[in-house]
Amino acid sequence: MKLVGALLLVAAACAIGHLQAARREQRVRLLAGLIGAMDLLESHIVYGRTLLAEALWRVGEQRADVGSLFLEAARLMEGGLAFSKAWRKALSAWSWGTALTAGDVRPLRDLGDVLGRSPADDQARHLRWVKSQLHAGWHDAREKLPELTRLYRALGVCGGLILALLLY
Amino acid sequence: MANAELLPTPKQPTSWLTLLPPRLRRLLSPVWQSVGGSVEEIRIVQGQPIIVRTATGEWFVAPWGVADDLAAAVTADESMIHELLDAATRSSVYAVQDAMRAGYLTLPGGHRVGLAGEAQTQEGDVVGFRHVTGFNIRINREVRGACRPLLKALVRPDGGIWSTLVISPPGGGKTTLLRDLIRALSYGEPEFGLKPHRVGVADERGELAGGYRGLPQNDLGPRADVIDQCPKRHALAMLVRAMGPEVVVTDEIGHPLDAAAVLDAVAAGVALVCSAHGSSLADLKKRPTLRPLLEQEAFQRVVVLSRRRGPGTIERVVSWGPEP
Repeated sequence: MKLVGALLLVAAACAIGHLQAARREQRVRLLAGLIGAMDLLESHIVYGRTLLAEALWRVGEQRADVGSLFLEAARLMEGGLAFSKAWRKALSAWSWGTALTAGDVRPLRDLGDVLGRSPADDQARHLRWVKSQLHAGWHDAREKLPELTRLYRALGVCGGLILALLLY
Repeated sequence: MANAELLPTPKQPTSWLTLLPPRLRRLLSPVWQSVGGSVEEIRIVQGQPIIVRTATGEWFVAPWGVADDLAAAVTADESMIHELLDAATRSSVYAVQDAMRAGYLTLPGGHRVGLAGEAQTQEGDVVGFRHVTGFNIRINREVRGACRPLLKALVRPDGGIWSTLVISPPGGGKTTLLRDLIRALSYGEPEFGLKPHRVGVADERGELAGGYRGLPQNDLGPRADVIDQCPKRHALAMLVRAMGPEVVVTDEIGHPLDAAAVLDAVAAGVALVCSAHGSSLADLKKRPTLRPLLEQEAFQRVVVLSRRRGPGTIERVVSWGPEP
């Protein structure tokens, strides 16, 4: 019985390690997805001069990975909210529980105060700034990814084993 | 002719209120209850009392409706201005920046929002607004029948229309009259002997058709072709060249190039219906832009409007130039 318990403990610790590693991978994927989405948004805004709600819909439909954020913001805007409020609300709901850090979310949140409020060239500047912030986060996350995934997986296995030995 | 004699169309009542952001909508809802149908302008300027203007006067907006007393007036704050800019641009300033450069936006329903604030310039040209701090919302009013008192004087014996210039000071009802005249031309008015016409509308500021994304929001009838948000000189040439109009209509001729385009249309044998700012014929003759049009007898009728008994009061209809 004790052996079964110990095995379960090790398995659970391994799973936690894998989950943590998977979250690091998810962060890289989400940041890459957001950078792509910002590129699309910039095209719709700067070149297409598409109304913001419609641009958000289009980006949402084109990006399966992060599309739900944009679709929700568009839905809230069509319900009568101004972009700043719609974006903030959609972003809080979407980012909660994802692997993104507070530092990753901050430039996105700041976008709510400026997007849609100035001429196209100014919008391009804001979007490029956000992209540069996301890119810095993505670059950092991707560089550390192999090391961190190995670390979390090893920590899961070793932590589980140590705990099982201590309790056994 | 005062507005009270005329019938407003059923779609007017709620349209302007529903376009406002929630807080302003709540604030102006009692105003709508008291004077809504007759509101012509709403002035919302940061740090200043909100003012509504109707045909009969101006009022401050108070929490319970309209008031004469400045102390009761609600002052527009910065967040109200931001909310209104978001609503007017649908959070997409970049998509309407060309219109903003001209100093106004057109909302669904054809309502026009004039902008004030800190303009942004580049090499001496206005490229937009750095900060918008004030709005003047001009309510689009379709007054069906506004042109009827004039038709007898404007319809030719052959069922066509004399080329006509409508003048009045700002707010005198020129645009409302032209809009109804377009509709009358497009449908025809058998009662006055006016046959249906193909009408080309050069609607540079989007006020005649109330165009929103290219689609007229006002009923201009089945034979009206509209080019909106396009400089008059280009729109007039495009219409004459491509749409085969019998009459072209344009609002507020002011630029010498507009006058030249109007003369080109005359040369093409098209009847004209235009408007211009001015309070009398003597005023018109002093304006260098309009003088050539009068001298070359581009118009056979000049209609003078005023606000004496409300916007659209017809002061005079003058026969001018030769009647071919």
